[in-house]
Amino acid sequence: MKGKYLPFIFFPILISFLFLSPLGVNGKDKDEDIVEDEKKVILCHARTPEDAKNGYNLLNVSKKSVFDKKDSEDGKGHDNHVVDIIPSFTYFVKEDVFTGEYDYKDKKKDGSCPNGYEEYGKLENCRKAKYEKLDVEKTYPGSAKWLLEAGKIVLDNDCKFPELCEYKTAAKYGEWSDWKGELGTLNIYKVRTVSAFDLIQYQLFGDEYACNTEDRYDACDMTETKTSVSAWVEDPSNTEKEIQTTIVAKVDSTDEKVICESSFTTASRDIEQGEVLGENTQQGEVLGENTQQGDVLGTTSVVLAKTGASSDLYIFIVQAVLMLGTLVSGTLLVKKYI
Amino acid sequence: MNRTHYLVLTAVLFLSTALFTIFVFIPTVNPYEVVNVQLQTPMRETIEIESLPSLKDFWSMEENTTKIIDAQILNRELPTKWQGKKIFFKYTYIGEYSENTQTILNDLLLNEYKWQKQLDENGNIVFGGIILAKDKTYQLHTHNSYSKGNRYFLLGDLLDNYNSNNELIGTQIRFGNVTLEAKWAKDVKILEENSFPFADLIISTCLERNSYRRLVSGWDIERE
Repeated sequence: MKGKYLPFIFFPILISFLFLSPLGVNGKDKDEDIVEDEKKVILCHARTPEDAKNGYNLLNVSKKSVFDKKDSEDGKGHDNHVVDIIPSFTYFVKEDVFTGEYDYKDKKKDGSCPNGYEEYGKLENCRKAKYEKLDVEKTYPGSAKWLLEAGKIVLDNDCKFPELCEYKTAAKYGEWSDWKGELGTLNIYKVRTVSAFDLIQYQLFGDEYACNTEDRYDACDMTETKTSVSAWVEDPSNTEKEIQTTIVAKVDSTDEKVICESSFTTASRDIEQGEVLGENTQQGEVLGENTQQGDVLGTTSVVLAKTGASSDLYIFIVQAVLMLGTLVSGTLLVKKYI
Repeated sequence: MNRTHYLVLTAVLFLSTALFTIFVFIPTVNPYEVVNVQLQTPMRETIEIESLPSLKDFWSMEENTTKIIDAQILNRELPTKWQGKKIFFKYTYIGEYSENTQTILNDLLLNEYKWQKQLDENGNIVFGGIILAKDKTYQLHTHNSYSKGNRYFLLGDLLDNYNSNNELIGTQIRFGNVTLEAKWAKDVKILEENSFPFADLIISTCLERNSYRRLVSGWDIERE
């Protein structure tokens, strides 16, 4: 890159400006302070003891109290309470932000820069970047408990626990037994225990509170039909069309990871017109969730913008001609008259 | 030519060279111009997720106001030169498409969002782009230097890089408090083909200098 500039090294003024480019080498530490603001966040604060076994209190507190250790009773911000349920939120932080301006000073006689100033380029000058405090938006990601499904449920329920086994249970499987029954006949099976435990108790406290228990025989003795529909994506074999795949699977009714049988169908349509050309043959209940926005609503056109980084060739040529002209005329002047 | 002629000629040339250097050459060849913006993004308190949220629920879409937010590439490798740097995203929303949108857009791209403005004073990367609304979807226009991220630090370079490696679709980028995932990408000459399916955000960048070839990609909000 710098090789391009070699023809111009005769001109200190050029070099000085070239090295004005701030390359981010100034390692000024950022001074972060949580900004006090009037906005608050609703969270679930664990009652004592801190394991939340006695439940939560619904609090509407300042966002600062999530971080600041001074304002809380036990000297800790809510973020330090392991079981508190704190949702994700945004807040402002004061940070030093470069203003785009510098203070300049000459080098000292020994060639070094004054304290706080840095040398740059090949100039005789030193400079120091100017900063000002500005509010920068940050995102608090949410506490560990809030990231769990149970945490969101409790927060949505004003920090109260739903009745045990009321909301959702999770299955726990025992080991399969050895084969039982009469060998050599169809009357042969394996069996295992399947228990369901309360999801909220398990996720928040690790307690496997059993809701019910049953014996289950071989996988796929009871099945459920599940259907998942993909998003519309461009057809790899035809760029003017897009396709959507529907998968219909029969899964074991107590262990969804066991797929007993499956089939898929594909629908196709024109991208521009949104016309369905194929037939969606999906059957059965749609139990999955399609997180896309739904059908393609139409099309749009993109504005033609000048987003290409510009070519600088002609600038270099003009600069070279001007500098050579100056050099030649100056040399002639010196030789003839000075 | 006598002495006066030489003096005048030398002076004129020297002055011209100095002015050209200061006002044209330096601003043009300077590879990195520091980004300096006022950070005054308003805080969004609560998202009501009764219907699917759109981009305006996450980003401030106050017309003709510059905003800057954090950005993070979630599931793709960054170019070697980019590693260890924080990434910010600076944008200006210029409103609904109208007759003079293209003029405003190009003026911003060549000045406030000129391609040299890609780093802040600390050497952190600042993606820049202009957003407009058209046909009930948002478009982001951003620069590409065609170096695929090996030389400069532009969002267009990064998308070009991923697209060249067939990695663009599926790429997830977190902007502030929303994650966007690339759902489709097209390498098109938009004077010949300019019809694209809807997305929460359409990002457009050049693929060739002085050409109508664009990399256009559709990004949807990752909804939990």
